[in-house]
Amino acid sequence: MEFIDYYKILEIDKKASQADIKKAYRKLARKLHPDLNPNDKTAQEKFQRINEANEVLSDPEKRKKYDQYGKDWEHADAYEEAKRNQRSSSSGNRGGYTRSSGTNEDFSDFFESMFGGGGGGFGGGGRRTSQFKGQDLNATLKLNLRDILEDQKQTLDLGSKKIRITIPAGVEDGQTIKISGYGGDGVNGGPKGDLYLTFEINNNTNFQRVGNDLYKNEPISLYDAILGSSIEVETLTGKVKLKVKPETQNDTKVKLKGKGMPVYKKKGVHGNLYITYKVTTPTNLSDKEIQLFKQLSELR
Amino acid sequence: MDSENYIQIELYCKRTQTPVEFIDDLLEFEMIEVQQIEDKKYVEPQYIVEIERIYRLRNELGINMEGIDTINHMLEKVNRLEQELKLLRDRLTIYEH
Repeated sequence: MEFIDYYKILEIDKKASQADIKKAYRKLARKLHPDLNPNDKTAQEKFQRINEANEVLSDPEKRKKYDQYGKDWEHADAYEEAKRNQRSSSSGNRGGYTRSSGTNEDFSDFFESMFGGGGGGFGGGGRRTSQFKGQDLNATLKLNLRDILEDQKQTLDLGSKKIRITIPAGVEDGQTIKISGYGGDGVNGGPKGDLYLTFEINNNTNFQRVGNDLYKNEPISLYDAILGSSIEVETLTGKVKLKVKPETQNDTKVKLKGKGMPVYKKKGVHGNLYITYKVTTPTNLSDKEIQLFKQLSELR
Repeated sequence: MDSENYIQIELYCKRTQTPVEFIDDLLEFEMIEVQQIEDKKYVEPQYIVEIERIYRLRNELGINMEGIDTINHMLEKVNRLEQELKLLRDRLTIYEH
């Protein structure tokens, strides 16, 4: 667990007044608020950090403890113990530094360890101003390109519970879907937040995906290009036979209709596959081949 | 008109402690649409997420309705540009291959 410099996070000096802290916090909150930065995980993480920094620094008591122990927060318990012994007091609450048995996703381990459970989310003095809905959560699901050729049933482990979801075929890389009611608990009896699931599609094939279409380069021999041929081409759903026309030029593109990616939430509809022929010239020619090519060139 | 698939604004405001005036503001700025069924006003469920998002922006960041309206337009624009950027990046990979 690393020490977190709350002053650095709020971009303020250690001598900053409460007004300075409030001002700095509001300035950064306007920049990093999740509703202003949808789908930006970095901003959301930073927002949680400034919330945490504000929670500590805007509360004089917490700030005092934080300033007192600073980087030596790990030894706080020992310091307190020593102080207590020096005072020879038989009892008393050490105040703070209670380890929280539960976890709070809004706060870092550092905060949990130093101050116990989290105090609250956004708003002055650490009070939640959103009174009815729980916090929205974000998660990422990694899938391979071939996994999304058909609808897929997946079980997500959310820690306290598992949910079964059906991922429609053809989801886009970076696409986010909302699963209502699977976020944080509501406040004051309000509804739960939502879970936002972002798909990360790993393309481990030699096809390029652009929207619903796929692109692929297919090498063909010089002779197949000149004389024409029948070749077998791999698609994502199996092999297909293609006729190469005589005198095919390099970079000729052919369209295989409906052999692309399935279109999201349109059952049975697919994009196209575009094959680009890459003509390969023969190497390591024999004397006879060179002679024949010369003869051919003389005919032109 | 069937009210089964709509949420009654009065009940929503009561349950979530949202001021009715806030919903009136949203209507004035045409950020949501409501349905009048008999003497009650209803909202389609899809607008609830929008209402909550705007409520957070107003209460947590202290942004007024004019500001939120501007933000909405800018976010729409950013979203469109991000999609276009993604499509162009994907296209570029074809030529980089």
